[in-house]
Amino acid sequence: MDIKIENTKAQMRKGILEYCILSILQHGEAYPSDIIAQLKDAKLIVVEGTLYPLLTRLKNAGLLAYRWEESTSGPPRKYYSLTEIGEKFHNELEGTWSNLSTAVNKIRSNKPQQSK
Amino acid sequence: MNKTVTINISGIIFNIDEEAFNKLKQYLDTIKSYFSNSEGKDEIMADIEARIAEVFQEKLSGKNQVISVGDVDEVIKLMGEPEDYLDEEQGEGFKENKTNFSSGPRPKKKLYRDPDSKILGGVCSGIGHYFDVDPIIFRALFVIAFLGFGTGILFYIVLWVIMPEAKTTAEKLEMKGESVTIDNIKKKVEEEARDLKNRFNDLKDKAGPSVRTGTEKTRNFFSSFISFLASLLTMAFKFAGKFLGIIFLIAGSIALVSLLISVFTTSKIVTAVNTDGVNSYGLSELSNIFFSSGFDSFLGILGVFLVAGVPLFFLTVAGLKLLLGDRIKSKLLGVVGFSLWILGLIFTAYAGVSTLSEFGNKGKQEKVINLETSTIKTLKVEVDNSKLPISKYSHKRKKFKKFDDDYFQISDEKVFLSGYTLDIQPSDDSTYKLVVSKFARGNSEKVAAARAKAINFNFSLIDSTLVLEPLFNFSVEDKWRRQDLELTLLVPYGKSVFIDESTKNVIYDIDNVTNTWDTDMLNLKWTMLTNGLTCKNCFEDWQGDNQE
Repeated sequence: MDIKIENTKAQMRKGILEYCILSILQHGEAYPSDIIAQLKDAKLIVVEGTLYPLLTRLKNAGLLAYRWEESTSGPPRKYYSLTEIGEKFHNELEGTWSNLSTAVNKIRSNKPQQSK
Repeated sequence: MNKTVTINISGIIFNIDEEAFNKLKQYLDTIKSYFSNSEGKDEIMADIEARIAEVFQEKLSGKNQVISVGDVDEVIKLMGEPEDYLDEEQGEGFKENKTNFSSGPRPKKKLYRDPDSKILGGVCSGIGHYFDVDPIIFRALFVIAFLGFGTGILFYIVLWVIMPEAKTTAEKLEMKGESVTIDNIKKKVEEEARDLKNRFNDLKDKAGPSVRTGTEKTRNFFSSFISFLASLLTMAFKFAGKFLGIIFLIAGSIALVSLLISVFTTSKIVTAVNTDGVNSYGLSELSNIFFSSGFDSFLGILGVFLVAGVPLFFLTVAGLKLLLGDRIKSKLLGVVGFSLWILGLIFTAYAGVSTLSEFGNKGKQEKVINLETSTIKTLKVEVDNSKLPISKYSHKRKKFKKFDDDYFQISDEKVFLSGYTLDIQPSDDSTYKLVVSKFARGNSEKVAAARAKAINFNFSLIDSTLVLEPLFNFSVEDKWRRQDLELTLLVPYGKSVFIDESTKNVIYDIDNVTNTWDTDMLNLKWTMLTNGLTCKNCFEDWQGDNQE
């Protein structure tokens, strides 16, 4: 078995990414470029292409909804927002995330003491 | 100066550099093939395209109205390489699949027709991929099989129908035995895009500034050399196909037209010899004397026409197909043609059977005619071949053969035939006699006998010479029902007969003491003794015999 670092990274990112997208949308509706800008800013993703399949998947799962809006600089844009299920999903993930980050932080801060 | 292409992304029209277009197309095709298995693929693609359109729109300004390669590169950088799309989406599943494929047994190949390197239907190149052998070998085999046994073309058509065409990239990979993995699909798509690009480049002026590296040049040389060879071969095969098509077309149409003419006009298809020289008869004239009724005759002709015409028609169509390279919709045509052919067979069989029943019964009529020859000691028998001007030619050509000159003639509503026989037997009294036996067939013995009786045969006795006409005849209305004639000359004991050379074609198996062959009995005087015809003083001049 060879575990590639890229693979592991991607797996770690994958779950978090969904949660982050939901978090961004919790503040209000947004269109993909807005979401991407924030994710890029946080260095969670590097390229835009990653986002589109994810958005479609979340939408198909019933977590997101969208509406069309005309754009002055191109084709009409999809503005995404959270559905009720999306909201619940987000809240649950929020709980899981705080648990996880506490757990990770705890393990990381424990580690040096044990090795001494 | 650069060529631009007009494209429509997400409903917005852009002018794009040709090179940039190829790059963008390849990019989108690759992404598309990545998502080919996932749900909502069209939606994802639409979203991506909409975003690309948006980015392009931002890049365009009054100064810059054309999307360049640089713009496309930027978009790709912004959107990410195709692999990136999967990392987050379903990369895991795909990657697992990929390892499974590459570590497992060699992927199964499937037999597809290859539409990319086809000459006719891509059958041979498909088989070539399957066996990993240059398709040219199979092409050659098919050509040989076609020229040699004619079965090649049939076999090819069957394969053409059976083998599915490789339409999608996945099918094309299966055809070549490569695993259907993302990498391979990408490779394939890239390959196709490169192909397209090469073709464009070939068209471009090669004198233009080129920044190609050495290896690229060599590769380009090889690929263009190979493609040159391929196109040469393709042309050769296409030419061979067209040539064959022309032959089919010409042969088929000529035969078809002549068949049409012979059936629907009074043109002559059968050439026969008669007293006027060479004469010909049309199919309708001939069928009239053969078929028992007009209806049968019509059916018979129609049947023959269909049985012979349908294959000729298809030969012509096959020629057209080869020539035009057009896949004429021939399924219905084939069904109709085959039905017509079968119908023709039935017609012919019906007319044949109904007519053949008229051959069922034999009839005979025999007449014994006393020849007034009381003073004659030697009777000369001859056939008046002067009524057959061509016969002299025939005699020369076929000197010792009998029954090889079959004369046939229709004139004045009468059918004239040769081919009667003459035998010589002893007479029971002291007179020469001629027994004329006539034969015919009919659906009853009575009809047959009446038909036999209606046969005409003329002869005359001039001094001491019995002159037989070369042909017997019967009315066209009587139809041809195997009418035949047998003559027997009865010679009294002690008297002689001189067999003239002109009887060569009618004398048949004449019994004689020395078992001399018919042809050797000619021009000799034969005497009837109690034990049979004897060559006694037969070389003597017979003319003196009857002078007293």
